[in-house]
Amino acid sequence: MVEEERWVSLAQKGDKEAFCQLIRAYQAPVYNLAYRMLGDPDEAEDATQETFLRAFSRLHTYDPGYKFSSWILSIASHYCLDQLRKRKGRFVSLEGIKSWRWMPDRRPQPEERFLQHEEQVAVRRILSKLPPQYRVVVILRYWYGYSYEEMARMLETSQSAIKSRLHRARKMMAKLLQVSEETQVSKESRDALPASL
Amino acid sequence: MRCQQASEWMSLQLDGLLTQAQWEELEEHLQSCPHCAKEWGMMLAADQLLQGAERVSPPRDLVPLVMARMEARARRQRLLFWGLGFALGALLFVWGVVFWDGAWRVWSVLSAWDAFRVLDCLFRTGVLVVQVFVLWLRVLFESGGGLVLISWSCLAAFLMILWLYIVLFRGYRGRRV
Ligand SMILES: [Zn+2]
Repeated sequence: MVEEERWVSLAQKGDKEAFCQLIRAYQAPVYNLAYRMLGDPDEAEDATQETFLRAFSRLHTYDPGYKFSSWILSIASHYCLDQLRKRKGRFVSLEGIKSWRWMPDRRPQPEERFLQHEEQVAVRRILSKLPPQYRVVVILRYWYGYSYEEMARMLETSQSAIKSRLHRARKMMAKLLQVSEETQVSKESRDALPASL
Repeated sequence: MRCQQASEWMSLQLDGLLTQAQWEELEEHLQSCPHCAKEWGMMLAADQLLQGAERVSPPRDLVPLVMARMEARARRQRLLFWGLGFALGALLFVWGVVFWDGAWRVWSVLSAWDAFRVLDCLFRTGVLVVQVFVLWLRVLFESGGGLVLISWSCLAAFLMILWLYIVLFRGYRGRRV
């Protein structure tokens, strides 16, 4: 994308209008990543803004040999991981509020205009149960289709680490689905009981 | 094939990284091991769920918001820059006055060796001040470093004043008596 290269090089020289173009082009993917990582629309909006501020102050470190999209998403991933680490350091009571936030009916979430409401809620719940380091690889893999090599570079780790995180994440998700299925079944059989009596 | 390896291969298969032969080997294990077959089923279900997940977009255009933050931060940094520059200037001024006053006093009373040591210490302090200044400039250009910067500057200033007080006005006055 020639236009994008031009924006980047102009922005590197301090051109704010060019940087605005980059924000316009990448706010959606960055926001989606932040929302999937943090699970909260307000925090995602804040994280998106901070990601672009960080990117602007580090533009001189950007290597044009790489895709700008993976560079900006790498900054966003690190920012969200930092936020989750900080969140973990807060009080337990706050953690309780956080898990309450994952409940579907609190307030409209960005995906709720879509039809498959329940599936989207399930996606959100499953992601929320994964440790941040696993969550980030799942997001980069499923929403952005990055290869192990690209993810390793973005997260500054090895490909084998990515491979094992992705494997553990999938194992964990499989278990979570199994548990939710089992509780579903037991609930259904419980609900069915009075009717059959 | 052991279950652990089978499980790892399932993940690779979902990323399309297994060879045909490996996949056949895995399938064979899945047919003989109900535990792994169950896990594979659930992994596939999770995979499908995630494949169908939507991409969400920000509820509003974030460009003006980012630019506003950038402007506010630049303003704050300028303020911090001038404030700390002024404070450092004042500190250097005080240090200069004390230096000449102290050096003169020490020079007039003590042996050349003691005077040399005091001058040496003062020189080191100067180096420290320059180092702090450089650190301070560097942090200024990294975002979010404001608080760290102020704490370090205060600590350095405090230590320097304490050091000057002890060395020049306590130590040598004591020896003079
Ligand atoms: Zn097995």
